[in-house]
Amino acid sequence: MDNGADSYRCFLDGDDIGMTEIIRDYKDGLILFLNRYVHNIWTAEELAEDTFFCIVIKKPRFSGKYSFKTWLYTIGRNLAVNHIKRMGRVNSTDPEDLEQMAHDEKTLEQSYISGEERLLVHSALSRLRPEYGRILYLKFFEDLDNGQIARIMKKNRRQIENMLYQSKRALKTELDKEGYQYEGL
Amino acid sequence: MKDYKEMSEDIFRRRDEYMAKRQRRTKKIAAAVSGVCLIALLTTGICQGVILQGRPDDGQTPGMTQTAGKQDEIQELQKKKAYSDEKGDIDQGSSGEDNETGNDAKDNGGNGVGNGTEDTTGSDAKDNGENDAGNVTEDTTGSDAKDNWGNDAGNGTEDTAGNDAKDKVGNNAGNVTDDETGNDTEDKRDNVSDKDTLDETDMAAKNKETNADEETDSGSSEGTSIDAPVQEQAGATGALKPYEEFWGGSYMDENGCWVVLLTEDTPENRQKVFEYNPSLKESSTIFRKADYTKAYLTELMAVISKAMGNNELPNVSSAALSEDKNRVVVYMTSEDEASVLKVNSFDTLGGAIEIVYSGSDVMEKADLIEKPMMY
Repeated sequence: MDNGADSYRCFLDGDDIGMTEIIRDYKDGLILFLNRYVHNIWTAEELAEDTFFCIVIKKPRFSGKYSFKTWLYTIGRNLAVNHIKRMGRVNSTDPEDLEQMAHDEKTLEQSYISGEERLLVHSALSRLRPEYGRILYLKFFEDLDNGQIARIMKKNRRQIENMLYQSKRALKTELDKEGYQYEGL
Repeated sequence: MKDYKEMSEDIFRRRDEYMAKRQRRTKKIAAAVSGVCLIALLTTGICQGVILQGRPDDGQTPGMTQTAGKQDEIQELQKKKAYSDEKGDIDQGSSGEDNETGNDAKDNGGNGVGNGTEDTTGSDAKDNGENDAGNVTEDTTGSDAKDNWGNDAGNGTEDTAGNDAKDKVGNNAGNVTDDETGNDTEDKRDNVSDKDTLDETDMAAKNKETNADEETDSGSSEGTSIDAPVQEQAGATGALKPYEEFWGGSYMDENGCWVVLLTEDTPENRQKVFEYNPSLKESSTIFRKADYTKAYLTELMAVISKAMGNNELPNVSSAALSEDKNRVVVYMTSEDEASVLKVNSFDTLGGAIEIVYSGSDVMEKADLIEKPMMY
């Protein structure tokens, strides 16, 4: 059982510090993952906050069948999908805020993703199809296995394997354009 | 971008607001539910109250409209009346006027000559011809055949709610106003000597009206007649004025009819009874032959009571004068022959004492209840 599960148990026992620890440990990664859905770092931040708020209010049961991160990201994904259904894919961000938003996104990436090479790959994911970008993000930056990714993406393992193969090929092509070789591919 | 502390604070603040909002909403819902429950309880209580108010009492037919308390009042009133009758205090002329003004079902022509009024229920018009002697007018309430106490004895004329055409009391005289279920109609007849106003409404309405009348009557009992057999309790005895020469007792049967026991049941004596008890209606009176006069039974009862008081009858637990049996009932705890002979020795005529072996000193409550005669 990972630290997230322990912290969540502390929170369920009435200790708010447990939730603070969860937010501290999982906030940035969740925001970057949700950003793959909404393509707006601020909206992703709001959705991440809503995810934690949902957990605080409803206190859903965590069975431990999957990792706490998988469980948390699944909740976040559901909220993001609901948000997209409700709000649509129209980006209503003011053009004047785009620069600030890009700066915030860059800052978050730099704080969460260590290494110049990984940052380069992460930025290359944005140029891939959204599905490929999400799967590769979970694979390379969240270190989740295929089963956990399948759980979060609500697909079966076979589908995830196929998509991973195709997304890696797409990423390799994208990196080749820039003359960069990534050893993980 | 928020750091994790700011996000945590925001989340917990939102949680507090959410909880407070939910608490307020819960309170609102609870208040609403409480209000609904309160209204439901009040409605239920009101309905139950109405139902209880309109429910007939035990021992009464559904058409009878008095509550137990009111019946007690009336019984008390009857006793006062009987007592005042004995003293000759009855205002014979005034009650007819009372009947004119009030809708008092009890003021049934009690004092006017031949101006009786009877409250019955049902739609039986066949008995009209039997209202022979006086100007008896009967009206009914509702349509419940059980209310028609006149039906049982075959005496009486009834009309039903809303059917004034059935007030065919051809041999009657009097202006009878019938209020039937809110439809006031007047059945005016010739040869008027008095006016009797009667109420005929449904049961609940009659309850209220009768109760109101009773209250009025209890306030001025002097000029009030007490006949109204339909309002008596079954089994009641002693309210009629005895005519001592041949009077064997009287009681009210379960149908609300007065049963008068006469040692000499002749038309002349019957007529005397009616003259002596003007409130008595022929249609609601049943005469029966009695073996002993009430005076004799009373005297016998007094002798036995005295002997019991002197401890002369140790095996006798109690004794009672049963008017419906026309006997003095003596309850004994043992079958000691000597005690039986001694008890019977008080009965100079013989056969007036009925001995019951109760088996214990404590009498059963049921033994104390005077049961009406069955026909």
